[in-house]
Amino acid sequence: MVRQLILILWALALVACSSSPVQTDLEQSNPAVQSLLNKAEAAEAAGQWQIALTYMDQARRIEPRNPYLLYRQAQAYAHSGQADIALQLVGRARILDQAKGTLQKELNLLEKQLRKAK
Amino acid sequence: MTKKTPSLRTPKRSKPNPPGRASKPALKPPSWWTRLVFLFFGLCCLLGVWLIYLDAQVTQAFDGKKWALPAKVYARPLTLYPSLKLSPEQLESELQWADYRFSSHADRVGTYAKNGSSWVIHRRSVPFWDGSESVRKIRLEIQNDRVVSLHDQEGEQALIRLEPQYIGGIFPTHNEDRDLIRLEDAPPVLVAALIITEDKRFFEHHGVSILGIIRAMKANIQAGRMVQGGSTITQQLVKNFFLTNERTLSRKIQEALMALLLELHYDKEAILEAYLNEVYLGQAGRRSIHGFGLAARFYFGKPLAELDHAEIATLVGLVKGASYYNPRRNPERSKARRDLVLSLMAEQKVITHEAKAQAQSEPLLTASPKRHGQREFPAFLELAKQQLQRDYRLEDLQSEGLRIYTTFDPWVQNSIEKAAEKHLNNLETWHPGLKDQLETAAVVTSVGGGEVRALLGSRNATYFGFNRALNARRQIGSLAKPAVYLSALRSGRYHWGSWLDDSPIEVPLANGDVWQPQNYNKESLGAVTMVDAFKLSLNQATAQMGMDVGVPRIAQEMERLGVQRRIPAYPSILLGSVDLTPLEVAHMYQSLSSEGFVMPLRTIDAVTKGTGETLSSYAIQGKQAYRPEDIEWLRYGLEQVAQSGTARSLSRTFSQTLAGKTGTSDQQRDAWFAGFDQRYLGVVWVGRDDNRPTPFTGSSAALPIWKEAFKRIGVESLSTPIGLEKLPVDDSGQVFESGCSGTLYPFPIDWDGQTIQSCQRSFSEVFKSWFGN
Repeated sequence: MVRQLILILWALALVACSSSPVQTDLEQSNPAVQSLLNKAEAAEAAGQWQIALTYMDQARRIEPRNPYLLYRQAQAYAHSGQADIALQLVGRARILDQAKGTLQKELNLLEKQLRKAK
Repeated sequence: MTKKTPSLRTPKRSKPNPPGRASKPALKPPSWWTRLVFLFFGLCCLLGVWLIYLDAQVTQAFDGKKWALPAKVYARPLTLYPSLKLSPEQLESELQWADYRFSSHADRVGTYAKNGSSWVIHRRSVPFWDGSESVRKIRLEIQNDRVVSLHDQEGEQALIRLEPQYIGGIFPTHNEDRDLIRLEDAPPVLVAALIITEDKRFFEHHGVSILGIIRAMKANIQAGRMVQGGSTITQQLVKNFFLTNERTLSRKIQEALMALLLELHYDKEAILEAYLNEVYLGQAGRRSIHGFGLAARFYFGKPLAELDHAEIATLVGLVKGASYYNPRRNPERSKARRDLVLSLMAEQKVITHEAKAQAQSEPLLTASPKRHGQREFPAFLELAKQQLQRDYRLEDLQSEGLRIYTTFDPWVQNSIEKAAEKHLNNLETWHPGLKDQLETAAVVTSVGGGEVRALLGSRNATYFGFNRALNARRQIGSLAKPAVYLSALRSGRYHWGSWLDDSPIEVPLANGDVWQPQNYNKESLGAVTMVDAFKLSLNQATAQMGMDVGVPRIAQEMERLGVQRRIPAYPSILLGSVDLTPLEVAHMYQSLSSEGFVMPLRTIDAVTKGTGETLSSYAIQGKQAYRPEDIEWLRYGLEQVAQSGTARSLSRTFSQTLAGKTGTSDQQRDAWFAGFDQRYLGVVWVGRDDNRPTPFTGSSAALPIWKEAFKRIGVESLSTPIGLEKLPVDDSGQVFESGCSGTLYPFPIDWDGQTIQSCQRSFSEVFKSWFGN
């Protein structure tokens, strides 16, 4: 329970601390991706993590190599207390972000927190 | 001599009264009147008990869940958005598969129009996994096979989903299927037509119509045979809902009593609604079609609300005998019945005489029962059902009316089905002796998420039988080689420019036998580079290298790539004497196509209740089992196979960079190809069910199916690998710094294999490289 709480707080802090390169990445995304992410955020706000994950998954199908989408999925998994899956997705996002490297800071933070919570 | 026996008929002596008990005067037998009264009361009691029992039966069944509703399974919805790669052919096919009809202006829901590159789709309201969306009139432009603009009545849109295609159901054992409708959703004309045709006094009687029975008896006596039934709609409902088709007096009495009880407890509207959903209206293979909701889709390919008068009358006509008046099998009979119903409708002023004349002049048109919108995809359904049963009980899937939203892509499925059918026919034309002997299976998944997009379990794609994609374990032949080469590369002792020895090899086995693999063409090439050995699929060179790397290590590699069964560490596994199903092969190659991210292959996106409430939804999961650069390094070899190796015909068909591997098992019993582009991975198997040899290889039997399918699906070039650099390698296999002369091969940037030489070498080094030590 405490572990989940720490995870959630950290994930929220990470969302709040999203840096401008991430925003820029997202702005360059297909509007369809943004539309699905809006729906995902609404689901997150309602605490429906699994539904949020599925919306993000549909966005990922439009842009399968967009690391931000995997990063957001990792966050949603973290929120829902599935730290192991979240960690794997952080790793996957890191691979997809290799070329640009715009997400490394966020990914490091999330990974650090996930490992701490474990 | 017969032995005499005492007569068995000897009357027994009456017992004497016990002492001390006075003998009573004999009781006078009850009068016939008393007996009659007792009998009457007895019968009344029995009838009362029976009525109580029937009443309990009626209320219990009618108050609770009336029907076991099968889960309905849907393909993924086609999601439209600007920049989507979409050919007009695909869009039109998918619309037709979801039962949309072409019309010049698309002014009715369920229709579409096209004018040059402009399309209008009048989409129905659709229950998606995350809620229902109302009717939308969608306008889109497709140029050069891409969506360039997307609008609906509210303006420009970022994304719009089309109606997903129905792909099958998970039925209870009786295979009843129905689309439940509410009375208020049924067209009033349908309800009126039904009542005037089946039970004109429905709103006047209490379940049984004495007048109706007398009228029917009179008609039957006059005709000398059974020509008219006297059953009311309530009785028909009772018969279908509670009773069997048995024709006996007791069953008829039971039916009448239950009809009276039903009317006692429930209003006419509830009875009518149940009738609309219960009535049997046809058969579609294993599925029996019940209710007007499903019948409308089955016979006319549209929802009930979209039916015209002629179609409504045809369905109402079916109530009298779904087989006898089947519009597809008995069109003349069905049309005569339809016209009779239309006349009754006009007589009773349900429709005008002009409307009747108009409807009667229309030909009897039905949608094809073999159309996509009604066909099922058994191979995919079987896998989906297996995966659903991890979270749901089978009985719930069969009875709760769930809606299952899957990853199935009908366009990809259609492409692989068509390609398989065409190529197997070709093979049989070239080898007539193999007529009807060849079988196939195929799996297509998305590279990014491991979603299963298509599954072919048999040459006959609609066959509900042995599903080869899931259950046929066959030797994978050279499809095992990527695991061998991956192990070699990761060992640090080999790179693509290393020299291998393609000469005969003998490996003594524990049982005393000797393993002596040979190349496909029985020739030996001697010294070959590792990349040539891979792309030409040389067995001897692979076996030599694999033995050097170590068989147990390679067995572990296969398991690490996602094979979920223990691989025995026999030398022959180096050349693929491993039995796997096409789905298992797909799982292994999925890891190769996704930079070593091992993912479960997934068929389900979401599950909702029939009411629309989301029960569960799913998303990507996986495990990074490899450094991505190691898998990208291997991918170079797979690209060479497609570029200039055993699958080089791909490079003649496609200009994009693709990766793949052919496979042929011992004595050519199995022909395989596994290949991927940036979006999809496809695995194809061709062989015989009796496991006898064929004259084919992976290149000649499986690869052409993949190629033909992907021509229709469309390919996207593989992205440039990250984390690799090209380094020169000289003729001796020595790696040099970038900029030196030599043949360029890719290496992981942080490769820590042999020492990388600088361009300037000492005299002794040059001497050694020329003349050896």
